[in-house]
Amino acid sequence: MKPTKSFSTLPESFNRIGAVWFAVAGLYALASIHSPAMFQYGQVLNLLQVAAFLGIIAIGQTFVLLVGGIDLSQAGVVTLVNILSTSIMVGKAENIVEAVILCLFVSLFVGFINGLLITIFRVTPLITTLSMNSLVYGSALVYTGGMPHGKIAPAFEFLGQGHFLGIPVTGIVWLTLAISIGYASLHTIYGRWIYAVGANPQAARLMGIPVNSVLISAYMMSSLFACLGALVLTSYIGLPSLGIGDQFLLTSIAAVVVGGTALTGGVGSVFGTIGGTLFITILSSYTRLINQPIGIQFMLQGLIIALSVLMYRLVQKNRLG
Amino acid sequence: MIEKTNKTAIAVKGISKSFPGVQALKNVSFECKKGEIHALIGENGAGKSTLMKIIEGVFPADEGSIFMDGKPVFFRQPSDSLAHGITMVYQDSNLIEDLDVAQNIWLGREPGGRFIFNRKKMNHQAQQLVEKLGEKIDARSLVSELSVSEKQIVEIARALSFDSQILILDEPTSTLGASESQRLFDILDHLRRQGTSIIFISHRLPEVLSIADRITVLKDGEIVGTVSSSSTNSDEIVTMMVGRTLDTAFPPRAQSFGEKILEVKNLQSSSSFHNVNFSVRSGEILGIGGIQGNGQQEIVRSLFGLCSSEGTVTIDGAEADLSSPSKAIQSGVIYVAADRRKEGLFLPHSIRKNISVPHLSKWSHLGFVNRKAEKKSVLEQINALKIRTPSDEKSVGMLSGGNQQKVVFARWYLAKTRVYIFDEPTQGVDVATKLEIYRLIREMAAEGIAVIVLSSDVMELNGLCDRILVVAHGTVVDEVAGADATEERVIGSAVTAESDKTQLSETQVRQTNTLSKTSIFLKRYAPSLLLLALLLVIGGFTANKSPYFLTSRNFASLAILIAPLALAAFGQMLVITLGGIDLSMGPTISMTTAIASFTIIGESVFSIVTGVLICLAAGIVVGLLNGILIRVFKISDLVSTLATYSIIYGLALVIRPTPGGLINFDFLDFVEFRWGVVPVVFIITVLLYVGLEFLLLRGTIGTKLYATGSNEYVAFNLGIRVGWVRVGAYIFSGLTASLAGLVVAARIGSGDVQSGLPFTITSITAVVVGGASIFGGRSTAVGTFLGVTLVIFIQNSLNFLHVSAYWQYIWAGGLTLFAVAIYSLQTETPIKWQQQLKQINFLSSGKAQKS
Repeated sequence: MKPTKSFSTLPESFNRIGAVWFAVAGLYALASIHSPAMFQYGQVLNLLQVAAFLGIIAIGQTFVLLVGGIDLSQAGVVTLVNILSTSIMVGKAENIVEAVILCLFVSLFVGFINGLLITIFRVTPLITTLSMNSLVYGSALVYTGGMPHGKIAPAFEFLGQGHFLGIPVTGIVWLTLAISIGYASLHTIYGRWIYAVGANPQAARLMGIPVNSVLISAYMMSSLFACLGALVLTSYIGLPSLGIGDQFLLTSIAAVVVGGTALTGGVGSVFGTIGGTLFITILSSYTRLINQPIGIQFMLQGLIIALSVLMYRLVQKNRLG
Repeated sequence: MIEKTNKTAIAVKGISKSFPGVQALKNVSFECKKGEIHALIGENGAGKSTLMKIIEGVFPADEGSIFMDGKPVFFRQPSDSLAHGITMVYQDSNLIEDLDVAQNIWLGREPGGRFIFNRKKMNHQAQQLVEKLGEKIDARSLVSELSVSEKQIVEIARALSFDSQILILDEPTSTLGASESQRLFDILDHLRRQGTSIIFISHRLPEVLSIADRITVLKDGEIVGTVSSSSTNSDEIVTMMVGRTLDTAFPPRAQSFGEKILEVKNLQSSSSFHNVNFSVRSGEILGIGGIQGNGQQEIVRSLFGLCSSEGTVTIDGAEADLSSPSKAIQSGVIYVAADRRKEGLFLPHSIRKNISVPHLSKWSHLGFVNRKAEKKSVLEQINALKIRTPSDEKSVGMLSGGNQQKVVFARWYLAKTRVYIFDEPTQGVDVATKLEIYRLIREMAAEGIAVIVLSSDVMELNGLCDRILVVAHGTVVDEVAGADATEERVIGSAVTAESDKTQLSETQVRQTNTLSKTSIFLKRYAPSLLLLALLLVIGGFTANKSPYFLTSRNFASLAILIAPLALAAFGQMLVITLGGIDLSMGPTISMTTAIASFTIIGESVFSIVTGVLICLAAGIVVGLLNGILIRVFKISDLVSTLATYSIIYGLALVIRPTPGGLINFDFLDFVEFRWGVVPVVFIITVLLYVGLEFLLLRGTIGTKLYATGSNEYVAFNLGIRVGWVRVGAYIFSGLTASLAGLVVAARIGSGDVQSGLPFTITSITAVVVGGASIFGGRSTAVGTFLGVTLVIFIQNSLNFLHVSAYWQYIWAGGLTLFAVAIYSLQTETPIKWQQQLKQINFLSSGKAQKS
């Protein structure tokens, strides 16, 4: 492992802006050279549209990783919200509000229970959210009896399929959410508490920070954004689809980790996750474009998770001296 | 005195050791003769433990060497010194909580064969050792169930079991009552007659004078002198211990004090202190001193809600609620912890964030922090406290110890409250910063605040405080005005105080708590019995509803379903016993079916045996990959197996994008071969589990597994190759995954990438439902097998009851959560938490690499 030295010679901006943006630019340049189709305006818009689903979901995952946890139940929440929203809307505009409110409520409840089990019952985050994922996914299956029905209301389509000034609405929603939440996480008391609890829960407790509440809220944020992402995704595809959330089980963690958020907590940002999302999305759309089997995508994703952890550790070591 | 030869057993010559900012030992030479009890005494921080750790091999000396029987020796790790006949007994327990007394005593050298040990002999010998110490502990009781003093006895018994030539005891009597101490002294005396050399560290002068042959006094990392105990007295020794040169100038004391602010009445806690009364006035600095570990830390921490206690505490005349840190802060108490890295600082964060974190609401509007106002206040503090840094955005992890402590002070200097408690305020801080900290503390007091300073440095207490309380054995034994305080007085009160534990331990009625066979059985198998009952209930209910349930045909089909999950759970259990997790279990099973659908087919170029071997090799490679990521690259178990989950799943998809391939019929017949109605695969699986349970109970490998899972740090120090144990468990997990994959492939007759995925969660469910602790160290093969059976049984029953198969996801998730929540609520997490901290420190220090 020789890079330790070369990292210290990297420009300061490497740390300040975040390594992920260099990675995104590099990957995009490479992909575009190899396959010029990547570089077309239409492809860029398409990237923005599909990145939004993962991007919104990963905002929530960022909060959980920032407090030193992990949320594997986002996949189940996405599937459940997709099933619930379509089956309640059944194509009628007057049902939209009811569907959205119910989905938000159910998701927040899932996050709350996750947080409660982790803080009060002291079950590890991994076991809690892995079991919760099974529970939530199972609920979706039982609810539909394996045969999902319903569809979204046409009035709901704009969110996922519409364009505003030629730009896909999903992308606008994602970036607006990500940037405002990213800003808030750095500038509000709550955001600062999230970082403090993640960096050192015991010290945070000694500062009088309500550690358990902060932890519970982080898991609720995770479910909330899984729900929002799922609503946008559902609006995009228009139909219920069992297991639609499974693709996010690992990718949401990959996006956050690639974006520079440490799994040990307290380090990282929602802004980094925007980069991580773009990286994962460019990678998968590139592998699809050059007709590589889907299996290659999974393999790359696994490698990238391991490599990111190793690389950011070196950057961090360099920064801490 | 008695039969003393003049041969030197161990000698250290010219040992020096420095840590960043401190010279811990300076040219220390010291020897212990054969058949001698040599006491080593000195103030807190005199360098005793550093010296002992060098002898033990925890870290090397900068200069100097160790000689045994005149020959130089080098110890790279604790197991090296152990091999040379040196045994350490530490003050804090170094036992494996999840193992029983006998296993702890003989860990790594179990009597009997190399692989299978003789349990009877082991129990018997352990029992003898413990009874020699006059203790009535059953050798089969779990260490986690023992009291602190019983643990100390077990630790001593273990040390005795080594028959070492050199025995080092670090304050062995601090947790013992008078009668227990006396018994220990009798034994030490006996060992001395046999020629054992004993190095005895203690702060209790009366007992040191009565038991030791010679006494060596250490001060400021240097040897003051060695005296024969028959020709000295406690006054002379106290004089040798004190008299350090004053290297700091303290700010002048307060002339007068204001109103009484803090008043503590009858404060007590069941385990660490009792009958504590004191008060602090406005403008006063109250010092709390004594030998470390006598309850003083617990006393001040209880004033901040960090230790439970009873009694009344009033602040400004009103009773204060100090039950949690946030309530204590509201009541006007601030506690500045001794260990700033663990309890004070957010190391990766900037100086600004560290200083401002408790005061954010000061600069906030509608929850948004005004960055400018925050920065202004922080910069003021940085300037006022002269924190040397180019920017307030620098992360505190990069600062020196002194500057880090200034950041902590700046944090609390920013907004003042009524009572400040400083726990070891100058630990690991350079002299210049020390002076500034003393000045700051005095300034704060002068502003009308009540200040408590807890310090193990007597000079610091004498110079800084207006009044000093000396704590010994959990209560205040002396009170001295700061101006009159001398080192002799403070140290003297602390070391000569007699313990009143005598009465406590004498009045306790000692029960002969021999455990019955049933209770030992129940301890291990209670979860299993519960599962068995549950199985019977479910079985009975289903049989009642459906006549087909109790047919041999159904049992045969159950057996063929149990086999693959049981194989997967087998590996998962080993990993979970080590406190890890294998998420890649499912994909590995999938990948095996995919590979099998190419290598074990009718017209394959491979023979069936070769085909099977290729599948198994693939599983081993996955396990090895996990092991390397975790052990070599030090990526956590969770992330490593999450990454391999994705990699292996992708690989399986590349090999077999859609279900297909036709598994060789001969292989199908082989896997599905039945003996009577029972599938042979099932019988083999059961035999594997029986073998595993036997190894866990009687095999050295089983003890190693539990020991590593329960406390990797202690296991490593006892010479267990913890790295290999962990990598081995993951390799085994990969192997059992591929075995399970082969059975699945035979059942579905083709390769299917989706077929294995559910196994990740179901295998975890089976293991935790079977009673394994997810923190590691506790599991049984019987429980896991019953857990597997339960999972399959519920599925099967629900089929018979015509409940949708989709419910399986719900009950699998719910059951896991329920089981884990119940088990983790039962365990005392505070202890586990500390162990984990210990382990984290151990792992991050990179010492494990040596194994």
